[in-house]
This record gives sequence, structure tokens and C-alpha cells, in this order.
Amino acid sequence: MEIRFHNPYRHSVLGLLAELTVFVGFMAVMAVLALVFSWLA
Amino acid sequence: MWVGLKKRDVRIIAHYVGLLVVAVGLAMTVPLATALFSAEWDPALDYLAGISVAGGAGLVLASAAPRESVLSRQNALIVTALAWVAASIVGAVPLYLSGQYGSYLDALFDAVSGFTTSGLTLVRDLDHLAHAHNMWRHLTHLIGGQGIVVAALTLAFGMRGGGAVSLYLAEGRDERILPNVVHTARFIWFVTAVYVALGTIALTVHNLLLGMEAGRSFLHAFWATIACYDTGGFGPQSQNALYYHSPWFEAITVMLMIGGTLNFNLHADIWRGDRRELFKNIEARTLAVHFALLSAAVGLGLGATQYFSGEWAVIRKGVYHIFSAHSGTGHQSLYPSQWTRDYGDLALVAVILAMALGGMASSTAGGIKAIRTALIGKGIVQRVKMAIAPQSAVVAAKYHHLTEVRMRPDTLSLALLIFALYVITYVTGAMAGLMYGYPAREALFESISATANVGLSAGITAPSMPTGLKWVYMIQMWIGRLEFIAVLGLVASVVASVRGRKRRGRP
Amino acid sequence: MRFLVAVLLAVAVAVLPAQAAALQTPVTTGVVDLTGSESGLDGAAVVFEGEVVSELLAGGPGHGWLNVLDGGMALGVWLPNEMAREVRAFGDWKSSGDVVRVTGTFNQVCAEHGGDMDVHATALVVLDRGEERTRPVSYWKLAIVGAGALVALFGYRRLRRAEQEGLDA
Repeated sequence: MEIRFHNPYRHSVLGLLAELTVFVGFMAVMAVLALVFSWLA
Repeated sequence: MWVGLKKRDVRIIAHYVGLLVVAVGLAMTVPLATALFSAEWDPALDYLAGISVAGGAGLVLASAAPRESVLSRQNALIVTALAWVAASIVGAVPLYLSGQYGSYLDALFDAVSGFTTSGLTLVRDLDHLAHAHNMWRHLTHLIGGQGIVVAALTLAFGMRGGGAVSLYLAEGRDERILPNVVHTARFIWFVTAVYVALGTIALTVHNLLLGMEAGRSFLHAFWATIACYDTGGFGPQSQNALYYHSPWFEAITVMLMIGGTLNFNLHADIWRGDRRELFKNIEARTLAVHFALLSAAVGLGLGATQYFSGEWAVIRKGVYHIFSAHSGTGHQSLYPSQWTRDYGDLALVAVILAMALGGMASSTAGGIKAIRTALIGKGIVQRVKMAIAPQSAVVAAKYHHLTEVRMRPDTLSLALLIFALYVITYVTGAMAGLMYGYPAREALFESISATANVGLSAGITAPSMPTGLKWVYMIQMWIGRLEFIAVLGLVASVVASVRGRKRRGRP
Repeated sequence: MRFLVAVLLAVAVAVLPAQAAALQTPVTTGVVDLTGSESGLDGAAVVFEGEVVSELLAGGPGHGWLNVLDGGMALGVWLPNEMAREVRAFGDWKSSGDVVRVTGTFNQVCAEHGGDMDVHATALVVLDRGEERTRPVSYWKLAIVGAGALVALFGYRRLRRAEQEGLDA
């Protein structure tokens, strides 16, 4: 297990942006999946 | 091995529980301020009363032992289990005084539901509830979500060294993300603060655009943010998420739900620069697989129904609820009776599975948790490989969870054990519902919703519900939040104490 | 000639279902029945009464959402803004809202609104005006405050003593 000593808040903004972007992408993919399968029904 | 509790242990436990109760009392200053700000004088009295009850009970309990008494691991477990009980008991006081609960038991139910971030509610006439009471209901999600224990750590109630670490581990969170436990707690609060700030701002703007009055726009935004980020599920109106009739509301809150269901360790890693972890992490991958399967299932299920087959309906009633269920949030944009009447069985099962499986570990989500389904999946694959491999071969299973980890037998067996306990609890709660005469689908739905701290309701949860069932769901919410270990520890300790007394020949 | 009129009417009814529903006699019902188990009223013209709560929300160009509470359940009513202007008082903790009678089409799963259960109003009548509620302060609660404070004082003194004496005294 690594021991990290540097300031944890430094990369926070980039990290947050990455998360939010991935969330939106993830939501879109799930929506598309559901739609495609609903058309199959 | 569980040792019977001695008088000394009981006093130390009482001390820490007392401190947490005092902390809950301090938190009540927020709804008190809300009441004063909104000129809600009678509710203000409710919170004054709540603060003094919490202060009184808390200080008396805390006086059982001096500060900085050392907590053994066993005692820490018991403190954790009892903290939720104690917090709920005092937290229910102002709710009961509001007059909008049928009984103290109903208020206690809501307090338990709030602190365990479940979201099932027994409140009456929610649309006429004072701002102060709504503030408190939602605040319980925030407090419970961040862990009453973590909150106490941050307030640094004289906890140093061994005691602090024990309590943190008892909470059900996994490995420490930073060397110092207090730093860990503070970082969790930082992530929460950022998300809550962003969510509140986004939703305030949304609400203003929706034509809501300024004060309410902010309050509703703050409450919805907490309810979704802490995956609680309370709402300030009886229609819950349906009140807004807004796809934007649903989209923003789903992003908060996802944020809230992410393991705090994962947030920490990503926010410290390791952004690839979001894709490498086994829990993230497992959840992605679950979501894909369940979204497909809900699409297929709804597409076949008479009602929900339209595109927007599939997304806003289907996928939305998969996110709400899987993250353990429990915001609902359907009326309870629609689950079993209009939703179709396949889609209903998809939502039930989403509830049952739950979110990531070390988050506010409930359920079996992604790390366990991941481990069990790996375990199955490993077993199959072992069956094929020669006798003497050693088959190792590895996975990536913040770092490369080799799967140990005891990790897998603990995961299986907890998985089994969840399933047993789900079924037992369903049986209780059936015994009270409720139909099977609703009984199963509600039982899983309670145990996995979700909060979606198929209609059983109502003030008119049988008292016994209220107790059943309360216990399920409590046990589920603590992921069994702390509660079992409490029971084992009590049993061991009683046995010990008998053996010593005392009356 | 009559045949032409009949054909035109048939086309009109087929093409304009909302108007057709308005031509039906609305069924008198309540929110609890509509939101609860099988009402069989999907797509039908209904009329019901209840208290308007919270506030008017935006619902697309020229329209808004009202929430009508009846029997402990609230239902969303989508209506043109001019119709909504009739309503002055909205129910919350401080006041009761106007009691209204809504006539409209009930949608169990509204295709226009992403699957929401709602009513598209064709008429709204205010039956009773809402008023400010007197919320008297229950001063007896101060007794609890006082009792709690006394217990807290006692507890605090005991805590101080425990500090001094230590755990195993």
C-alpha cells in the first residue's frame, strides 16, 4: 500500500470534471441501451 | 471471540454514544435557524425541545466515563450499532412534536429512515409540513450518510489514537484512504461539500427557471441535493420526484446519485490525479455491467407494456428508476400502486434487482454492494478454473481496487457471508409482509427497499401500516445500513454477557 | 348533405381526441381513486376537487403545473396559464390553498409528459379561497426544553466529576 503525502486537494478540479463527464456519458449509454431494447419489445 | 461486557465496557460505550447524541443535538440548530428564518415559531420550539432532550440525554450518557477512554474493537462495534439507535430516538423528538406523525413510533420510523438514508416515510400531510421539519428530515440523510461516526471524528470529540480507528472501521467502510483517520473524515466532508454546493446551485437555478419562489427554490434544491447525493430519498412534497415534472431535475439528481454511490476511496483517488482508476476499478466495472444488463431489461420490460413504451417514458420512468434503485436513493416519479399495476413484471424485477444489488462499498448506498458481487463473480470463475486445472496447481484471482489486489479466501468468504445475510433478510422481510396480508410482489419490493436502504415504495409503507411491520422495516433499515457485522456484534456481546453472568452464578 | 356532416364529425372526433373527451360527460372521482388501484379512467374525462398546494410550476410554453391535494394524495394538473391565474392561495405550512374543481382528461401514463401521471385540465373552478392558518405556539413545549436543560446540567456536572475521578473510581 502506497503512502501518499501530497496535498489531496490539488487535482480535485480535474478529477471532479472527469467524474461529471463520465457520469453524463454513462447515463447516455444506459438510456440508449434501454431505448434499443424497448424497440425490440 | 465475543467477550461478555463488563460494567466498565458499558460505561465507555455509553460515553461515546452520549457524545454522538450531543452532536445530533447540535445539528438541530440548523432546523432551528430555518424555523426562525421562516417565522415558524411553533416548529422552532420543537427544535429547542429536541436540542435540550439530546443535550440532556447525551450528557448524562457521556458522563458514564471520562473523555479519551480507550475503545476496544468490540466496544467500537457496539457503539456504532447503538449510535444509530440513539440518534434516531432523539432525532424523532422534534418530528413527533410537529404533530404530523400518527405516533412517536411513526416519527421514530422516519428518523431511522432518515439516518440510514433509506427514505421510506410515515409522515402525514407532507405538503403542509414546515420548512424546519423538512430541513431536519433531509439533514438526517446528510448526517447518516456521512456516517454519524465520521461526523463525530471530524468534530474531534477528543478521539485520538486507537479509539478513532476502531470506530471508523466498524462503520463498514473499507481501507483508510489517508494515513490519518481524521484526515480521511475531513476529505470525505470535502468531497461532499463540493458536490452539495454544486448540486444546490444547479438545482436552485433549475427551480428558479421552473418559476419557484426564491426561498423555496433554494430549500428544495438543497434538500434534493442531499437526498440524492446521500442516496436518501426524502422529498419535501408528497409526490416526491414527480412533483417537478422535469427531465432536467431528474438528470441533475441522477448525476448526484451516481456521485453519491461512488466509493469515497475512488473519489479520493480520482481527485488526487488518478483519473484512470474510474475505469480500472472493479466496482466501477461491476456496476457498469449491472447497469447495462438492468437498463436493457427495463427497456425490454417497459417496451412491452401498454403504457410506458414511449421513448421518453422508457428513459424517465425506466432508466431513471434503475439509477434511483441501484444507488439506493429511492426518489420515485411514479405513484406506489403503479409499480405492480402499470410497470410490467420484467421491468419491476429489473428495479428490484437493482435495489437488491446496491452501490459501491464505502459510499452512502445500501444493498449487497458491488465489491461483493464482483468478488463472488471472481470466485466462481476461480472455482471453475480450479476444477479444470491439475490437482497441485494454485489458481490465483486478482482484481484492481485502487491497487492490484490478490483475492484472499477470507475476503471471498466474508463477501459470501454478507451476501447470504442480505438475501436472508430480504426474504424474511418479505415473509413478514406476506404474513400481514400484503401481496407477494409488494412485500418483496418493500422488504428489499428497506434492507438495502433504498426508499422506493410500492405502497405498503403508510401510516396505516401494521405496527409490527413498522418495527420489521425499522430493524431491516438499521441492520442493512450497518451491513450486519456491527449488529451481530452487539447481539453476540449481549448474549456473551448474559451467559457469563449465569456461569458465575449471579442471579 | 347529412352524410357529409356525419363524415366531417367522425373525422373530427377521430383526429381530435382531447376535444372528443371533453364532449363526454366527465366522471366524478377523487385523487385517491385516480392514483390508486385500477381506476379504469385512463384517457377519460374526469372531474375532481382538492386543495392546491405549494406553487404553480412552469410546464412548457403558456402552460403550467398545479398540484391538487385530496385525500392525502396530490396529483399534477397541467393547464394553460390563464386558467391557473384563477388560483391565488397555495397550500403550505402557513396557509391553506384554494379548493378547486378540476375538469380534464386523466392520463395514467401521459405520453406528452414522459410517462407522468397527470390531468390535462379543460376547466378549473375555484370553490373556496385559502386562508392563512393560525399556528398557535404550544408553550407547553417549553417544559420539555426546561426539563432537558436541567438534565443536561446534571449530566454536565457528572461528566466533570468523571473527568476528575477517572474511569475506575
